[in-house]
Amino acid sequence: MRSLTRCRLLASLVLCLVLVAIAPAFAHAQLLSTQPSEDVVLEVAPAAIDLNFNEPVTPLTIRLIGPDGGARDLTEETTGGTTTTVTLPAGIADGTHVLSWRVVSADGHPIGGSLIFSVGAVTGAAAVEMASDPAVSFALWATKALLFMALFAGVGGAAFKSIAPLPVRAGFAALTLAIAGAVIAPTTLLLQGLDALGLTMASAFDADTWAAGLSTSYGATVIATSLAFLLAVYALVSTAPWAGYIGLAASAIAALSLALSGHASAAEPQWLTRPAVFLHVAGILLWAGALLPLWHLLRDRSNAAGQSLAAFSKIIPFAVAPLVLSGAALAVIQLGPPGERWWSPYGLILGAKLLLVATLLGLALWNRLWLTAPALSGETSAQSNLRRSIGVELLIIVLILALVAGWRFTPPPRALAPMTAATVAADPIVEHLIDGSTMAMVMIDPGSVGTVSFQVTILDLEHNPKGAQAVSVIIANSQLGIESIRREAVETDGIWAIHDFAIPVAGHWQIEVGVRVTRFELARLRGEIAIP
Amino acid sequence: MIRSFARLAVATLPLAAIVPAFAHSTLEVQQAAIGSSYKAVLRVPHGCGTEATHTVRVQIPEGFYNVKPMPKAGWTLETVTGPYQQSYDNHGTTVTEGVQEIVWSGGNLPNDWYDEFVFRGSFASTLEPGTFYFPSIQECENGEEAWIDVTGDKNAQMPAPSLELVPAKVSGH
Repeated sequence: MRSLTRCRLLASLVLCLVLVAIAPAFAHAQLLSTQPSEDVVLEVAPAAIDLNFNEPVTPLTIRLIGPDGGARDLTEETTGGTTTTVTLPAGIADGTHVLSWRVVSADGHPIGGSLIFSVGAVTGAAAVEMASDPAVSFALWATKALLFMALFAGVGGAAFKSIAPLPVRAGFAALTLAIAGAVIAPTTLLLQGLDALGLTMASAFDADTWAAGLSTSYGATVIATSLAFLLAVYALVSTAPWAGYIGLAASAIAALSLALSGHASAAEPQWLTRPAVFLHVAGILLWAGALLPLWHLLRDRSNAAGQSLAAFSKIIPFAVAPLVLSGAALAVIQLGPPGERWWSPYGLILGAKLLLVATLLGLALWNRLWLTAPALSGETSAQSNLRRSIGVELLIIVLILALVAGWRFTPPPRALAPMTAATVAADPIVEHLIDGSTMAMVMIDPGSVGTVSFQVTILDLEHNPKGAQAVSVIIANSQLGIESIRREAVETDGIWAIHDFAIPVAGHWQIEVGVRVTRFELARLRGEIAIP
Repeated sequence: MIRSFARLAVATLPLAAIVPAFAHSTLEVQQAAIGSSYKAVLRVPHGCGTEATHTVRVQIPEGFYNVKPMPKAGWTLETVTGPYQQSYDNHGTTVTEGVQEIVWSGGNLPNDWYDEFVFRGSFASTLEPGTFYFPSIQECENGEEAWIDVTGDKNAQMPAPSLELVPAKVSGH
């Protein structure tokens, strides 16, 4: 096995060298035709797909994205050459498929494109569930759970500094976690990228992986989270009297960072969900961040314990009330009315979480109503009971965070429900694309996956109609690893239209409108569209 | 894993600039000094897909003046002239108009063959250092190859032939 791998490495290297040596003699490859042809609807699934190039090519990545959104890597099933043949697996489903290809020709210039064809009838896949590598999935879950713990105990610990002085050991633990968090955050970005592209750990050093991770909404989250960790480290190390406020600022940024991405923040209405996520996370930060310091204070039986406990119990209702309210609001939005949806994996995780949260709140109530006052008045048994109870709270919070990290893999019922109905009559999507001299107004109708039409109006910067010689539209989805799909538009009465353009899957697509303004002038107007 | 690395290596080859960009239509000399005269050799490595090229058009942007194309056996040479936006000094004579487009037509350059198209002219001393593009178009029976992308995008499918303008040497000529 190992010698085989070595052989492949050697062969690849030799191939590289040969390519370098003979490169100048070749032009770059162009796709001349495909079999089956673009956008065709076939009665039965083809056994293979031929891509005919003007010169020999070597396949780099060949992927088939099916109507269910599942992607299959067919690179191993592809033979290179002038005619590149992709052998399709038997029994591919009816519906619209995308064959996304990326090949390199002898000049070392990789080119890519996508071929759309349908079996039986044209469909639009609902949402892409990439075939994730189990190792990547597990690592993603574990690092996410660790990240949450580092966030709530590390950054939350820094925030506790604004309530009361941190005991030395708790401060050290929080500092360790904040530093760990600053390291873990970029790691989750890498894993997110691998997951987005459906790749394995082997591609960890691929620049595309990182770019894909950053291009997801999670990229902004990681940048903000890292900033929160760094601020928290500063707040924990600093002895300045205002270090606690830096800790609070770090918590605010941490809460904001989680409101930037994720299922809950993506739900409608956004004016409600994003602030709700912010309040929810901020509440947990204040609460969870205080538990470890309190536990240490009570164990040390220091004099500061009483003051800190008093300060904490005064403040904590203001954290827990918004926490519970925002949590309830989000749960209602995500789950909807009672029914089958409550038994989805998402619902089950939420149920388990709520059970733990109820226990947690029960403990907190017991602490506050029955233990805090006697503990403050110096009752030793109440103090050790309180400490034990706080220890259990910490344990429950760790369990909750482990559960919550699992949500990454379960779309909420809210997102699943409209999928089947989405294609009926979605509102058109309108997007403005602009460069220094030209503007394109693009309308995609219906604004959904499946067969759509593009209507493009070309304007100058004063919004006056602008003539053009030709207009083309290119869409690509780097997040899903779908190479560019290009169509030429046809003009009627000043509107450039492309009919029967198949958008195979939902997601964020990069769009580029190429406007041939004059014979020698090309305007490339770029943007991004979200296909629901 | 190893295969991934090998693929990565192949994919990044152009970045490493080991391979000259012979795939595109390019200029032979890729650097010139501002204010100097320049002989442009446009290299045409392939046709439109598999079709033969019958016409080559080159746009002469503002700032490249006193342009003289070289005739080519088997091709009809034409130029499109017009007024310049600015006036230029040609050894004491003020130039206010000149060639804005060169057209070699009626030729036959099959996809499997290679050819070069030559013109010369002067870069105005008022130009700024940076990339200077000569947008060019190959026309074939049923299509064209328009090398007119001047965005500077490294992944551009059809970049316009270009050269780097560098500041003139202080010693002058």
